Amino acid sequence: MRAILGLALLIFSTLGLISLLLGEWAPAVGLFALSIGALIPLMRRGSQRIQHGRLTLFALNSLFVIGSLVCVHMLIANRQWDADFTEGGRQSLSPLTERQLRALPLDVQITAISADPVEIRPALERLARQTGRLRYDILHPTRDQIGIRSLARRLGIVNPRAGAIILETSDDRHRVMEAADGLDFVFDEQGWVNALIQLTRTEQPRVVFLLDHGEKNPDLDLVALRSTLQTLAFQVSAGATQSIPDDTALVISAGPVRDFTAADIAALQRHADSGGSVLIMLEPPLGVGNVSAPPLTNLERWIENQGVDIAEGVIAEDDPFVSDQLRITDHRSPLVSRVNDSHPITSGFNPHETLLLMHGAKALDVGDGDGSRERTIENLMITRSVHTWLTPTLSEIQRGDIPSARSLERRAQAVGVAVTSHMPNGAGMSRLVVLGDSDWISDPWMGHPLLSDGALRIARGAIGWLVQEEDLVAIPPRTPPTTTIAVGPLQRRLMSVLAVLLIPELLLALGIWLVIARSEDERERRLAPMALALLFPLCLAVGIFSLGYGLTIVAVLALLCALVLCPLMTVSGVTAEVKRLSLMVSGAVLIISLLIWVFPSLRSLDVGAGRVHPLSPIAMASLDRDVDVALIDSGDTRTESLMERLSPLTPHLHWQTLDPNEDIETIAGIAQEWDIAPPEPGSAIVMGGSGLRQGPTAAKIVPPSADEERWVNALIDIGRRNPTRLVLTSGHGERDLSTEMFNLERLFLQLGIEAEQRPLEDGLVADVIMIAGPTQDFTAQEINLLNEHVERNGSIIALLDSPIASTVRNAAAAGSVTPLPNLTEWLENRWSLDIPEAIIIDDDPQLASSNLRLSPIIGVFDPTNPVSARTAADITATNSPLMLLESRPILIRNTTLQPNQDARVIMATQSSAWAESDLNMLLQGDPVPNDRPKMSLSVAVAARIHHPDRSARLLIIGDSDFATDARQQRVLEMGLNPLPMQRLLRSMLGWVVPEGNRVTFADPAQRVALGSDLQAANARHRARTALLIALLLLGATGLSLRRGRSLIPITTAIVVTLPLALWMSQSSARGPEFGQQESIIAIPRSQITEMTIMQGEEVLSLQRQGTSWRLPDGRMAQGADLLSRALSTRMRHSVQPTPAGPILDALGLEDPLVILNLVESDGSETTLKVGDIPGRSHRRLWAQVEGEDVIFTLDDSIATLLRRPLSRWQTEETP
Amino acid sequence: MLRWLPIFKRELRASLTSPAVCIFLALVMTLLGVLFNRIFHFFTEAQGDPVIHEHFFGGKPLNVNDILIHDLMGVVLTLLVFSVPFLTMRMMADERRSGTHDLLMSYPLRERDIVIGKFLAAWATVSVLIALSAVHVALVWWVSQGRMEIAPVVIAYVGLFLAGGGFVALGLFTSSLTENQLVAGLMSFGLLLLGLMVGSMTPEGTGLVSSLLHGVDIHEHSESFFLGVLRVGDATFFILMMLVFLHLAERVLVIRRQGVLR
Repeated sequence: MRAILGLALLIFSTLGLISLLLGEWAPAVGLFALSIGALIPLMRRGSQRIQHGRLTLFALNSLFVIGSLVCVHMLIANRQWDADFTEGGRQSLSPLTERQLRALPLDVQITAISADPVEIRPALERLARQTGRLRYDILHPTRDQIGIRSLARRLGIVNPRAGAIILETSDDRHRVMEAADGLDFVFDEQGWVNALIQLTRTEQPRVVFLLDHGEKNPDLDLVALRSTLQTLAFQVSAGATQSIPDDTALVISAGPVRDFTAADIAALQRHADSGGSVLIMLEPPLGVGNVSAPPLTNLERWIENQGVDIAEGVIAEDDPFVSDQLRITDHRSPLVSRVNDSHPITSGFNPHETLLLMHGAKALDVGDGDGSRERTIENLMITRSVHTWLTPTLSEIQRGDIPSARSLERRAQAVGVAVTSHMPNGAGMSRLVVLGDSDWISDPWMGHPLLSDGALRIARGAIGWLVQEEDLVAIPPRTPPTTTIAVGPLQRRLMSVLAVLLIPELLLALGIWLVIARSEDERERRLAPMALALLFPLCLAVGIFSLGYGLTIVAVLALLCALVLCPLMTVSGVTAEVKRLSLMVSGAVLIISLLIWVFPSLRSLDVGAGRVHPLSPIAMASLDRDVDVALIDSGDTRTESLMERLSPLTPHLHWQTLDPNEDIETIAGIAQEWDIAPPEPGSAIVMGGSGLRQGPTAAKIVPPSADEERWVNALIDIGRRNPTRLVLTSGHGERDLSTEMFNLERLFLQLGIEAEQRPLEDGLVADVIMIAGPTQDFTAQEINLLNEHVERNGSIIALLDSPIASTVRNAAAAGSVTPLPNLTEWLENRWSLDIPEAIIIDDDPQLASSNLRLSPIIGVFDPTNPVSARTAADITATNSPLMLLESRPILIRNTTLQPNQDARVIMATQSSAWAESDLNMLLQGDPVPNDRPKMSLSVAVAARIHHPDRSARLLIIGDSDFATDARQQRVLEMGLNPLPMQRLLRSMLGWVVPEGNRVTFADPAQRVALGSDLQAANARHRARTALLIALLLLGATGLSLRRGRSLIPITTAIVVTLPLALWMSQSSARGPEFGQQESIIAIPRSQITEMTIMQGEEVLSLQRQGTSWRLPDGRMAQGADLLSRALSTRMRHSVQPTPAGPILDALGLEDPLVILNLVESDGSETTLKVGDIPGRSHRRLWAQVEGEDVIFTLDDSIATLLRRPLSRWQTEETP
Repeated sequence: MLRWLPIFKRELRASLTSPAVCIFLALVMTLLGVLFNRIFHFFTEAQGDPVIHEHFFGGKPLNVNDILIHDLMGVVLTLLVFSVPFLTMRMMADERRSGTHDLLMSYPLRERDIVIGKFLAAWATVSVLIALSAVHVALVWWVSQGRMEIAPVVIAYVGLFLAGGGFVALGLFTSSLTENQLVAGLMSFGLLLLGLMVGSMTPEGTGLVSSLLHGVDIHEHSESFFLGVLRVGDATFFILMMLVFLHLAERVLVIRRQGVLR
């Protein structure tokens, strides 16, 4: 035995050593474990008892088996025997990548600096599994500081940030890949492989950008493209056409505005003849008055000789997607809708998922060429045929000269053509790509978050193809297809019922059946487990779900069953009859609850809802035009419930619910009519301005939400004729709205604020002026305009960065950043502020350890101000701080506050901050001085200047970074929630827009009861009373039965509950009165003696005889209903509060469908005309009492009766 | 050859006709249903809300397989960690507590047959739980109008079944160590929870300790299955887990029969 053990020890340790030497640590561990397993019994020789021997054998045996299994696993696990079953193998690396990785000529060490390696580690592992030459390590940005510093020192990298990926080769070359703005690196197979290849290969193709024809400069206008090329290991240079170096692989002319000379053309041709490639991106003159731009005759002729025809004019478009979703409304930005999938440049590019937009493009086509070469010419991509056409200049569009939707002028336009020219005698080939536009790849457009991906993908593809290295750059992205799931309300409900209730209940029923089957007890006793196990969870689940969906009464009933009746059935003293009754009641409630839950129409039974925020009635009363709301049903009834509560507050709100499956055509019709994208289930379309004198039309989509504040503001935005107008200043280096603050722009859209970024000029009229991060000062004239704006009670949002921060960031330009003396002086003097030129540094150790000292923690909030109170609540709710960056203090100068002014600090830092103004200290990176007094510094102030009618408002914050997309994205990448920042922007807008225009609920949870419908309110009271009585009585009954059928508890319950119930049912509903309605015709019913109904040319007269109505021939008619309905018809909205006059069609109304003439006993006549209001999404009627000034809109309750064919009145009556 | 069959039949019958198991399955399915509805809600919300899309799904394309099915499988796996100890804790421990262990050992069966029979029965019961989750997958398939890739779903289920087998083997082993069901359940639950979380608690990198700890991370080994990739290394991990713990359970029975352990 010992010999065997010794032999095993020898073999295992030797193999382990060999594995270790080979770098295969895993088998080595297993083998060493086996060695130890063999060693232990050897060391215990001679002293073991029998038990020890067996235990040792057990340990030995187990170790041997486990070690062997681990070894087998390790050997298998390192093999590449994987099978990817996803579509297109998207979870695996492409074969091209695998080939490139296996062919790596050098060892590569990848070091990733990441705080959250969830994404990076699998990616690195995936790469490392392909080749033994690649190893990786992941360092935490704060925990592995020593390792990072050591790496940085060794490679000479300055301050590597989180998100950096450092690639090192065995021959001491290295490369750092950093995501923009320090974002965590996202695995981009193409980018990573390219970076690896770039690092390990020696030859770098040269790319030359031409500049001598006014082309875009790679260092100024095409920085993104240049960076991409450099990432792909190209040598990038710029120069003149006639000095193209011989070794140039690719010449790029991006947007030439001057023509090529003959010598330039000759140089270009020489380059092409030598096998070089050319990429030409045309740039048509776009300015409306710029039609006299010199034609590019020589260049265009050369291109045509290569086989690419160029059409006259510019491509125009009227694509609603471009204007609605991308917010580009200049009609010159066609989207590419189809690509040539067989061409390497565009292969695998899906323009429906990845947008590619041209901006002012020439139309191209495949031509014949000059015949000097054998050429292969292919179209690459075309625009959308129904939305694009060619126009000579853009002036036509501005004049409204747009071809009709069915015009033949509208057709797809090619915007890219690729040409391969084969040299004579097979001496190689040259390639040319011509694109109709050069803006698409320029930096301003690359900043658009929806457009950059497509542009980069096509640019990479084109360049890879042109330099004949498709393999290098054209790894198509392996993104999974997006699956859009549109769930109808019924589907959603069924899913909930099936997943949460039905399957578990079936299992539960099975369990109970098993219990019952096994039980030998009497039948009654089986009720207990039945009740507890089956009914209790069902009722409880229905109750809880119903509460969540706002179905209060259903919830109360179901919970009553769960908490009272089900336990009652388990009480041993309760009689079998009571138990059976409880079982039946619970079952009935359950069935009714489920029915109500599944069928929304039954929900009108629910009288539990009906409270609104105290500000909602005031806000809704301010609507001055009709608002139509189309709710796309998603099964969530909370929005409907909210609409039910809001609609009594104003006669202007009309809403309907549409089923996304059944009302497809209606929804599509509304979307088309209002020119908006079809909304998703759960969202709603809010439409305004659709009727007479209703102001300009406006519509918006409200995403799924039952947030009352959001809805009230959405209704205000659409229901007022004058929406809020906001001007974001420009011309002083401010943040750009479309490229830097896309989220804010989206917020403006959501809130219905008409926002525009433009310079301050005379005649500017705005409700709010927003100044976001200016770096240059305002002129005296502009300051005057600001003053005028304040005098007009306009509001101002000022987001001011610290000028010191700009200087620190750009140390080379120190002194060039102006401290904005005019603007700060105006703010200080006009609003009694003090705005020092300093930067806030927070000495909190937590921030210092993570290099965030310039991002002070905001720790003080004014609870009385809605902006700061809401922000504080958001910070608490999300557990994420408000991350300002390099902010400046904003102080209040109390001594200069005028009587008509007030100012409050609304947000301030925690007390570990100080304001640093020592520029030198910051620039030189000196250690933190200890002598600075630490204190809480104000960073945001809300100020008002009160005028007799209203007040002007200023909200100033010492930072503008938080409003930018990059900062919010950065916060997200740090694992924090950007919601406080986003909501701060929202609250700010709510506070500064003109009073009454918007509503901000300081305490959104506060609610008041609506008194608009006293009957409903009383019904609610009665229902609650009934429930309370039922509860108490049931409880008391249970107690009575439990305690030997004593009548004392039930008698007590009755004595206590009855007076209480009586008091509750008598108490009237509280709350203000809203939405008073009045009848259109104010005539006592008893005085009507004759009634005539006219439908077109048909006339029917009815005469009263006592209490009945008779036809002219004496037969009885059912006129009472009609009269009753006509007299009780109430107006919903006055269309025309001023005299309407006789001309209906001038108001857009059609002739009346029905005229009802009523004759009173004194012979006086009243005529009511009722007609359709045409062209709206849902049916409404107009009505006018002849001779009166007012035209009303009606709901169509009377219409059904009035439209009843007159012949039916005559035939249905009984004599 | 099939000497384990009677044990398997007896245990399977006992499991499937146990009201406690049915009620437990109902509870787990309720939980799964609620979580599934939650995931589904976020998925559909993310389609129209970029903030939710970014925050919950990192801005990744909203693919029904890569997100919805993947997350659902993750939930099922987590529920297995909680439920398998409940289903396995009594298998060996209860025999000893009730005194039927000695009777069982008196049968003409090897320890291996007992272990295999009990293991397969428990695995079959767990498989019922796993299979029930297919209803949710079917619901996804229904609402996505068939735009769901079936092959990756099958692979995900292969992963779940293998993981379930590994979990059952571990549960069986802990159950064989003690006669107290609760202790056995808590032991296996603790070990499984540790296995599920060890990866997230381990520093990253290719170092020995890091690799070892990541190597036993259940979550990492199941991830490839849920994404639709059949990785042999991950499959062998779960098979290995089964073999190791079954072997250990058998060894415990053997030395217990020999009277070394009580």
